[in-house]
Amino acid sequence: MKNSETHNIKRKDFLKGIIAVPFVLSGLPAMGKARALLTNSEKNLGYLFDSTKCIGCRACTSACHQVNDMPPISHDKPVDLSEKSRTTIRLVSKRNEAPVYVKKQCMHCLDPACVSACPVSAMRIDEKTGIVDNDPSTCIGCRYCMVACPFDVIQFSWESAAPNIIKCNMCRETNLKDRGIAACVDVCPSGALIFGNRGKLLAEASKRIKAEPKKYVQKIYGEKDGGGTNVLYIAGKDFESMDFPKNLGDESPAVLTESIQSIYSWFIAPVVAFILLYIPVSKNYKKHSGDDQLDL
Amino acid sequence: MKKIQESISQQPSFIKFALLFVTLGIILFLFRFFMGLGVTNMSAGYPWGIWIVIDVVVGTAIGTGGFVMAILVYIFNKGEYHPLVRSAILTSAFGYTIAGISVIVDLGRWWNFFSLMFPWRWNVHSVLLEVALCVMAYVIVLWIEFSPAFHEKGGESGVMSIGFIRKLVNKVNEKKRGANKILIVVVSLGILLPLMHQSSLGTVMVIAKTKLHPLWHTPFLPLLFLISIGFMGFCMVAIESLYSSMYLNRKYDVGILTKLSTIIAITGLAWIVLRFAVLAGEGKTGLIASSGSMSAYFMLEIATAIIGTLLMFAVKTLKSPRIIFISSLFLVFSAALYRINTYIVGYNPGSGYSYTPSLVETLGTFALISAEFLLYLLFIRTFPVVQEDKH
Repeated sequence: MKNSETHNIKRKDFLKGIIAVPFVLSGLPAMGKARALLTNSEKNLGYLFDSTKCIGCRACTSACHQVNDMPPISHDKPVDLSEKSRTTIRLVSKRNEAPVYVKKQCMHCLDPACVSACPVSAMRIDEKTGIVDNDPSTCIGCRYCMVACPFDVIQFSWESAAPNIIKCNMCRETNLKDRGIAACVDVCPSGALIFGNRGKLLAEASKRIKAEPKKYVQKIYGEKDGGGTNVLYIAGKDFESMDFPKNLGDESPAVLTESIQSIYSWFIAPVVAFILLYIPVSKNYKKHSGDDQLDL
Repeated sequence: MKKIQESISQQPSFIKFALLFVTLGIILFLFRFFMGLGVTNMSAGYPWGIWIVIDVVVGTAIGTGGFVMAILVYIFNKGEYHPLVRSAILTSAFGYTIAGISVIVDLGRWWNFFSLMFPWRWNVHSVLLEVALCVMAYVIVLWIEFSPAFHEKGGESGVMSIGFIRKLVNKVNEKKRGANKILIVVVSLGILLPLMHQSSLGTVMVIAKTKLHPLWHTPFLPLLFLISIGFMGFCMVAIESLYSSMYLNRKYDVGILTKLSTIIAITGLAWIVLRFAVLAGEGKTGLIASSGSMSAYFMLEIATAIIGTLLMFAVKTLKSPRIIFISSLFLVFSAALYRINTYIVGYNPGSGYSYTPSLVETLGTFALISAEFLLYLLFIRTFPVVQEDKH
């Protein structure tokens, strides 16, 4: 009798433990980011790149290197994005055309796919500034952020035994802190880059393309693309020919994935599924008890 | 040492080859930890190579025999398939354990791996988090599911010489079956966890919508991944049952395997129908023929699925273990190719990036497959896994 009592208590504790799991897990969604926060993006920090004004001097990439303590590289030849370079200037025009340059770096999406993808919350969006940055202290180097990024701008130091995710963070620890502006914008001599709040940048971009409709394509890239970005572009050439992703649409790639994953929200479905599995398993398990030696 | 040398020299040559690969692999993996992931051909455009796609995505899919057999036996109450369960669980246990090892080798910042264990660092929106946690939990579940074999074998040699493992094995198996609540919970989890992460391995690529070719990108990826597990898991069970019967000089389980072949053929057919239905529903049927080399990969994937499925339907009349084996190979190839296509072949980041696995990556993958194979053979010889022929 005593034996069976202790046995029952043990079993009760065990069941309690199992029941507790979903309750603990159900608190977790609250810790995730809320999409609603991101709609208020007027005050986010960003910059506007006006392709028609860029002369391709690469002062921006050079300044980025110096300020962010990146390994030295030659700036005479164009260098593409790599673990040694957080930003680059690409020549995107064809032969016999006037040169058209486009700056590439993290777009600082309003609803970043990389942040949604990161399993350990190492990739984060700063709620105040909208800056997307990676925290190496928690990053496990799984590189799912790179798979998720539609702009393919996230880099990784492949050659290092202690590698890092490398991307533009708008100089948040360096030039932005010291001088209140990203280094690339700080040094731009041609006025192709301007820095400021997203709301003001959008107004300026819209003013420019309306004032000179012949010079500009009537679109501000990043206003809505991929859910909107803090880095905005205007240009005299259509954007698909400027190495921007095709079929991105106006929705962040994170939205579809997260709506599929919402099946797991609050952990209700898996718990229900477990109970639904447990009932027949336990019935059939007992039924076959002693059938043959090789159970399981 | 001499004893080990002698026992190796007595082994057949394919085992010696496999041992060579494993040794080479261990050296290469150590090399990778000192040199960084530059020894691979991965790039910013292709951040995932075969160590993720073949070792983990395909490797765990191949290890779903335990999952599908558990569904058949414990949910649909088909007790006659019982003799196949334990060897299926063993393959699954090795498949998943080896996938776990591959993940550690592939993780750039592996020393931060424990981030995954801290709930306050979890990003609950991340598909990869769910996959990682489910896979970790499932590795433990699989070894507990296999523990009755350790328990029956008993003794204090091998893994049972490790004190806490012996205690754990004895604790889990002290109660008779039927009264053993621990095992019932574990078996239920052993169905729930693969159901979650094998579908989510499809969801993982949904986010790459601008890079993944439309022949593969669809919100139905999780469902397609899950259904293809149906035939892939059962085919692996058939292959390993036939192979271990041959290896241990026992009679083939032709009766059970013929019954199994009908289930395989139906899931295969279901997958093919769904694959085309999704393409038609999304208005992508035109792409099947017009996508150049992508069309060729798609055709190969579908053709092998169709051939395998038709052969499986023929098994019922032919009752030939050879046909079961060949059609299983076709279907496993098809489902593996579907995963490789979704993760690498159909994945195009543009900007002139390309990916072909490096020698280190290829040898590393061979080493892990060889290790899995060797350990499987060792285990079926050491533990009561394959049932003695009663028929």
